[in-house]
Amino acid sequence: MNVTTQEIDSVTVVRIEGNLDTNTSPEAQEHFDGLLEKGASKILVDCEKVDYVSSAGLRVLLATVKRLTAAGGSLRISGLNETVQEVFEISGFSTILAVFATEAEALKGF
Amino acid sequence: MLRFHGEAEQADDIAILAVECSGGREEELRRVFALTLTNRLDEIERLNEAFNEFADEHAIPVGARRSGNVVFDELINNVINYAFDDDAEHRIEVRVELNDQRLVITISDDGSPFNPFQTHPPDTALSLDERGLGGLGVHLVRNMMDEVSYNRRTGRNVVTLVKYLEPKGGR
Repeated sequence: MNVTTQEIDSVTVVRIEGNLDTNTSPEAQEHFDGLLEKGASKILVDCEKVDYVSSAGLRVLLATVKRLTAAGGSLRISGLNETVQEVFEISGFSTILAVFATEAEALKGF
Repeated sequence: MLRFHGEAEQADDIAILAVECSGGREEELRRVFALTLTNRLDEIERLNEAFNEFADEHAIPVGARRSGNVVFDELINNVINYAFDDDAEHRIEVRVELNDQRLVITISDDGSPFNPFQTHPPDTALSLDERGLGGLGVHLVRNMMDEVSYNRRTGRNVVTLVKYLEPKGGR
């Protein structure tokens, strides 16, 4: 897994490449924790280059969005492939996270 | 649980055997993928990389391949974290069998008897604040696979999963 971060206006765009699973989740969590500590309040997670997400990855996203919303911020997510979309639907995450088709769409009005 | 195959299952076994033996073609034999893991979390990565190679070689549709990746991550993680009462090294056997219509995955371990599919599915309709994530992994497995079953056989937990493959040319 590889994570890159870019500030676009007031939004912190986090692009993940690889998988969000048992082995990569601790590192992903550290990355998000670092952003939260630095005071990021609008985070966009782009998954266009994510191959699959397991429950370990969902756990990271849920922990991040919970902390973020408690601090008055918000999180958007984009670029889910069909399998990640399926994982989101089965787990109910598609109703608790703001999901957008592309990064550009997610940035609009954020 | 049944220790012996029923009539219908036996017929299936014979059919598979016939395919594997017809002319002894290596092409057919290679459609079985088997890997032995030890109970360390980084073994999941090794399994998924090897499975991806197998999927590439045999043109397994990408959706089915990714479902396999998720299922391996969930179930092997569960086995490693919960099945063993000691600190000893254990072997987890993974086998994948592919034919034109389906992918059959078998995962077995010598841990304490545990049927992952007996657990209650989580309430996925809860709001953000109420959500915990217990049981979510198995819930994903149950929904991403077309058939799931558990057997305790000769001191091992045996989980069998079937994923139906889309017809060729389908998405």
